[in-house]
Amino acid sequence: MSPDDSSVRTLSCPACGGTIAMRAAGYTVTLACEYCGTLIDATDSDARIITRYHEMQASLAIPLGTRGTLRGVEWEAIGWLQRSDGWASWEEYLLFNPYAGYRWLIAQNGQWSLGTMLTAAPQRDGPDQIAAGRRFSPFYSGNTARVTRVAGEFYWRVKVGEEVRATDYVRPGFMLSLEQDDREKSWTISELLTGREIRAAFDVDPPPAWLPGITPLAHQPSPYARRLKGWWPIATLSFLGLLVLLILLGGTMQPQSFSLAATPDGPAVSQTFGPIVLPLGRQAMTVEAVTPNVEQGWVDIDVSFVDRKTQDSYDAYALNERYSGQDSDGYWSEGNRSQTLKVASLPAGTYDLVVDVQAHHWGSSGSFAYDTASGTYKADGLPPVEIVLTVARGARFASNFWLAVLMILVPPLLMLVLHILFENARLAQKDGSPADADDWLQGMQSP
Amino acid sequence: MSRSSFLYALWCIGVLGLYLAAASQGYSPFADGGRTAGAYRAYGPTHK
Repeated sequence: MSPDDSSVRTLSCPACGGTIAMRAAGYTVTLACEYCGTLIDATDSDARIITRYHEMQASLAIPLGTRGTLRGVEWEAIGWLQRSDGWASWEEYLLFNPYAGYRWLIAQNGQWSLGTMLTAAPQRDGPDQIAAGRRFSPFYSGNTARVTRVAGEFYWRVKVGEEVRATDYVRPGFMLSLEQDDREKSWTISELLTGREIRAAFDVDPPPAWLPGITPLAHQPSPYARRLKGWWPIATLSFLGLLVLLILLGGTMQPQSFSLAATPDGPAVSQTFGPIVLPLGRQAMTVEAVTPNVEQGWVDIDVSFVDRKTQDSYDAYALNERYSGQDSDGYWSEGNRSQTLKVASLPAGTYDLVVDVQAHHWGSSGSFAYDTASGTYKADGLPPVEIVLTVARGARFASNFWLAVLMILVPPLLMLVLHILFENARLAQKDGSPADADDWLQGMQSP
Repeated sequence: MSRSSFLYALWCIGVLGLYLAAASQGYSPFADGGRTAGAYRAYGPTHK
């Protein structure tokens, strides 16, 4: 569909003499000179000047007369005006197609929206408005939008300084605007265009990516919400995959048990067990150290896997302890008689397990004898503490699992933080009641 | 699938691959092995 070129009429600007094309002849009421900005009455056969402006014509991102196809319709930009509400300013291009009528192309902060005027008022539902099957929440109210600059042709008598009272309702990607003055009310739905759409249609720069510190448009959907929604299924699948790997690869096998005994406050005991054969590659080892009869004392347990061939040593340490007593609150106990050690990445080979243990007694129960070597009193006559070591190939590292879960969650969590920053900046502009949970939930919706 | 979802899926596959590699090598940055030298040892009950 293309407009019939015979509908284009030219006339001379009575102010500067420039040739002006009137592209919607028959519909256009007011025409602004592209060269000097003078407003001309298009209905007057003598092209009467309505208002004369000598200010410099704005350099437009879309020169008037440019044609572009949006949503399957070829539009021609015939008018341009700049508006401001005192806080923000934006530009509106009037698009025309003789078969489809008029549309507005609204540009603000590098974002572009396509506005369609409604022929029927939307349905009110509480504070919300329902139009075109979509629910809109109130956002801006009682602002006055004032025309600050104008060029091209329009279907009403537009002039600089013209004011309307504007109320806006939003949902992600859409804005429903009510503009009213003393004479009329008009409703417009504007839909945010993607960078690809506006670039393909009118070859303008795509909208800039949002960064913290930039104020988004009221109806700009959070780019992070879309990512978050797309990522959660992937994160869930990855988590389930990790669980499967944890179950499949975290087991232990071929346990071997060794035991030894140490006297509390007695000499350190060192004993070598083995051989422990690791046939393949690198693997983890799990050592469970249990001291079933330690009481009122502790046992230092140093274990070392020593490669018989290279004498490389892989060490780990456990502290088993048990204390108990009676006080005004009753019986108490603390300490753990069992520790599980995990030694990572042992190369294949034949190992000896070298165990050094020393048991100690705590407190004043039992009998004590003076030890000349250390110059202290030590428990005497206490039964030896038994140490049982169970060594198995393999280990289940929960730390690896949680580290992987954290790495999977870092990108969505980063997106969540950016989404919150984005929505905070968007909702901070809201007039009336402060943003509530519904506003935040609406921010997660898709356009 | 959007480009960002594709990249995130690649990231997750990479994490799973790293986990699998660590599990097959019996590796963990938080293993007890080799901890003896720097281990802090405190003895005795903390009960008050």
